[in-house]
Amino acid sequence: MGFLLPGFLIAGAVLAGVPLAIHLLNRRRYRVVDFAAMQFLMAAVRQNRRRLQLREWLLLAARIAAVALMGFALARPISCNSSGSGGIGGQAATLQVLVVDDTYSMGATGKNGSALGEMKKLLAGLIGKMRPGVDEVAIVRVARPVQISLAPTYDLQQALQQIEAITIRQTPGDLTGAIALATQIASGEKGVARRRMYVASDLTAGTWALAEAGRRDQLSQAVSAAAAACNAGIDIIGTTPLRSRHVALTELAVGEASGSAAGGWAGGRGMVTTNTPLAVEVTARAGAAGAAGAGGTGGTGGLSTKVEVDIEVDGKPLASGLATLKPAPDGRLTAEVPIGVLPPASGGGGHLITASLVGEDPLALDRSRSITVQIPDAVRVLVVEGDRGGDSRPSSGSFVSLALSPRAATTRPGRDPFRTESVADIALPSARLEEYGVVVLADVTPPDATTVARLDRFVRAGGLVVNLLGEHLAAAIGPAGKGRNAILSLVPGNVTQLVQAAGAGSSGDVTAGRLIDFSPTGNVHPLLGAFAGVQRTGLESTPVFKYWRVERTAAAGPGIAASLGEPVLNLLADKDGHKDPLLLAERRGNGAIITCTAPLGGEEWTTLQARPAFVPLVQELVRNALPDLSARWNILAGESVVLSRLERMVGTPTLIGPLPKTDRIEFESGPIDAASTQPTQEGGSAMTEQAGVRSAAVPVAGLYQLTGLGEARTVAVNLLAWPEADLRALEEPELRTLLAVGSPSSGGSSLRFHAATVPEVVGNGAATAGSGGRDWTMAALLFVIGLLAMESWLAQRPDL
Amino acid sequence: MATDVPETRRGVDGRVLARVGSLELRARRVMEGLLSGMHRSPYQGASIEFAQHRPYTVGDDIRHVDWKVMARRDKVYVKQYQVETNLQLQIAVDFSRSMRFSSIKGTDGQPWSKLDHAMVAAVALAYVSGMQSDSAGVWGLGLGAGPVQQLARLSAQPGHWRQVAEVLEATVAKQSDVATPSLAAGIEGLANTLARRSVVVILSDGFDDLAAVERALGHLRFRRHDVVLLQVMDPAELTFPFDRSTQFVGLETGDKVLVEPRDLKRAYLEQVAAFTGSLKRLLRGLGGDYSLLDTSGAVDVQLARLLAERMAAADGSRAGIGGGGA
Repeated sequence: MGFLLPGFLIAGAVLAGVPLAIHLLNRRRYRVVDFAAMQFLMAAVRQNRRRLQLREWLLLAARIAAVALMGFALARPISCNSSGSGGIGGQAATLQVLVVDDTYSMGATGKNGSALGEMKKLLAGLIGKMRPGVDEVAIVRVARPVQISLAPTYDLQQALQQIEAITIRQTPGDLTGAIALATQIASGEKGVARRRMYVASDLTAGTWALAEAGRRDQLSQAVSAAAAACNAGIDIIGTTPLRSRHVALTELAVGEASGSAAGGWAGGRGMVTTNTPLAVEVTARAGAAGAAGAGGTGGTGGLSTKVEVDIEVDGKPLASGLATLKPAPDGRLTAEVPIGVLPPASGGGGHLITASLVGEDPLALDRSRSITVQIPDAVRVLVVEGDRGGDSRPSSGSFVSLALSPRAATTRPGRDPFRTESVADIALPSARLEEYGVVVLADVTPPDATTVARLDRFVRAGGLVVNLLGEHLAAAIGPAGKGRNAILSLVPGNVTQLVQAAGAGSSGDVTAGRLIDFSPTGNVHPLLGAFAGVQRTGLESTPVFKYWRVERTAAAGPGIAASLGEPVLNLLADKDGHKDPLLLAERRGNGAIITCTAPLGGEEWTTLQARPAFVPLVQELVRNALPDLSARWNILAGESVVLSRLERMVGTPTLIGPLPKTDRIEFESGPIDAASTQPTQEGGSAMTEQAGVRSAAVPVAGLYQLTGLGEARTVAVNLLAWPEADLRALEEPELRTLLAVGSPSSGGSSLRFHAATVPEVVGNGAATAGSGGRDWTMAALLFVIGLLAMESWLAQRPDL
Repeated sequence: MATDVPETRRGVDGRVLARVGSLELRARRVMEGLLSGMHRSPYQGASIEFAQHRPYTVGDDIRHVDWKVMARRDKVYVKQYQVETNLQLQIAVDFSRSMRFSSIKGTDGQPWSKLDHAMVAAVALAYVSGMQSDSAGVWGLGLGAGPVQQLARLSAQPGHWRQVAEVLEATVAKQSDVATPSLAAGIEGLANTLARRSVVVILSDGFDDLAAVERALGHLRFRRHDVVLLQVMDPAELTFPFDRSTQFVGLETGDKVLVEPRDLKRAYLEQVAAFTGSLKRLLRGLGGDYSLLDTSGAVDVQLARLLAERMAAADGSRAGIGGGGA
């Protein structure tokens, strides 16, 4: 026996207690009458006691049964005829769990229309074969978050409606999670004799052939668990494979155009300004046509590598043309589309850049991406000098200033991406740090704690501090190494001593100092990625004579970042085996700190500033270390927009879109996550700017308007296109291999594959054919009417 | 006339007394008595109302020979006259706790119990008796002092009914809640107490063991008393009008029972009907009279109907005697 609307059954069971409650209540509510003719009354009671009790119980039972049966009737009882649950028709009640692939690859269109449309028809046909009252249906959807679209029900009509209502979702798929959830449903459903699972999908490599081996193992384990839970097996229903090529735009970046950077080394995607010749780097992935094996994962599959790309800036077409996709070892195809310097009218600030692949393709959804970027006119750099120099002696920050804005001293001012300003360290407490993007501390006198705290806030809010340690740091450490100044909290490690380098040079010359451990063909730090493979930069031959030894220990003290990355540059190990860092980088809040253990301005410390690599080294460090504050305005479908606490205080943020729609996405306040709290000097923890508000997950890609922060911002929401865009269709042998199940002949019979066909619901040796179960609703209602009539008859005849 | 008749404190309606007083209270049986009155006596002789002729027998007073008849028929007949004698009316009022039950209100808005109804009827009977120069006495049944207690001695004074009213009121005022003797015991006591033949009117609900009551009434009848049982019943006892869950508490015993009255009404009414029917048959078998006094009815109408019935019965009896002279 099953119920189409089990909620009424529960309601009936609950309400059945009402007549009993009324009965008991009435027994407590009576009036008291003094009576004289008690002898007649008592005689009447004695004579009729049994009759009255019987009548009372009959009435009560009739009322309770009527209410309970009404709930039973409204629950739409249908006999299951289950052999497993004592049915009478010889049919086994079966739970049919449908796992429906609703990832966006199902939107791919082939000869038979979209894969989703074809899948709906297949599933409608499947449900049409199910037996009312015998087959119980549940539906689970694959796209994240994995969700139960329909809890187990015998209402096949409702199941059909749910199937028809399915639309693709743009969040990544989680086939493993969906199968696990379906298994959980199958295991938890009692009262059914058989359990069967159907996985309806386009069987694309993007959904099934998971890139990581660990995830593949999890999928295999989930299928094994499902096979164990479903005694009637698992059916994998595939839609018709696509036979056309699909190229998806999977990444989009804006950077400096190749060959345009000063110094002549290969440009990167570092910081750009309105004066920077820009290029849009598009990354595409191609799902080769046909079944897997016909082409590889990614790559071009032997097809043309030319794609036509349209570029829009702030909604206006800026460039269009053919781009040549270059395959990378990891399967990505990248192409750089130069767009030049932004039009003067664009100005500095936030810009929206959209790239679209032009041409016919079976799946249009992932052919376009947008990105919001901050392109300033120039980044203002405040160089704070502890030594202002004099006469022929340069100041402590002069070389860095020159490296950041080398053209400032030439006849072509205004082309530098950095605009430097130098001040003495005594002016640091009064400087308006929020007006700068970078603060360079060039051997400054240790400032007071308040100033250090301001610097810390500056960094956490998204600024970059370049801290060049010099002789003034000795005052911070103290003569005997006792007492620590707050400035040390900006150093990602424990400053222990001033090292006079000697005897560490590759030549063994004591006066040569220690050399930088740099190899352009080795493991180059990401901040210096532009130096990878570039020979004769001079870095590897630069001696360092003096430096502050920084021991990078996690227990360095409060204020030290919990996660320290590898040093950007190390010095070669000395004779005692010390391998001290020369350059350190630390992410702190939204910003970063770069620490150089030796000042770059004094020749007694190092000769780095005289090397050809000096200018690009400084620029590359600063460009790549400058935080990309635009990142949080570029999210993926399914992610949230995170705002800082300070931003939250400006107003009530509202996310509207995807434009031109006006759907509103709400924000929820509170700490974002555990990492958003930072230790304080007092040893406690305090909310930082990271602790703020998070929007609900944005489910649909597109452009959104974020209002309520003083100025409107555009949030670009893109698809996580890869690997979902890999539309290569997998066939049964490959799927069996992936799922680690054998062929039917080798015992893998619990897994059945159906290529664009509807499997038989009845069969597989467990059930016998027959008509559906019987609907007992009318019978129950008639019984209720009979009970009510009996109750009324009894109530109207007290003498009975 | 109604305004001239004082009311009892419990609302004896003067109109009741006036209406009842217009009737003749006649005993169905000929009573012994010394006083002349309206009642027929088995003692024919010194009277002015001719009753019948009978053949002369030796020993008859020749003053009663009807010479005219002898001259016409040549046979000697003596005339007999109906002797008017006075009636001794003994009124027994049941004061048991069951008589306190009331479900209705009197004209003054106060509860009108069965005892109230019985007392008014008793006073009315005393009044009528006094108006006919018959003597009336009042007895109390079910009082704590004993099975039967004389409340008012026999008296034929016209104003005796006032004394009756006062003593009844005083008795009610003194009545306590102690357990009372049964009705049957009271009737037994009355039978043992009354020496002369009397008309004994019992005003009671009759709620007692039927067999015991039968024995007591038989004893009373054995003493050649004319027994009239006026069973006083409240309309709630007769119709059982209760409709929702009720806990009934017995006035006599304190028994409690929680019932759905609608379910028991029929059975209860059958019990009541059986009991009253038994009483009626019992009285008829004993040659007595039975009448049901519903406290919702008018006492005057009920008593008038009773007396009318008794007069009719008395007339029938006289016709049966011969309808001619003494």
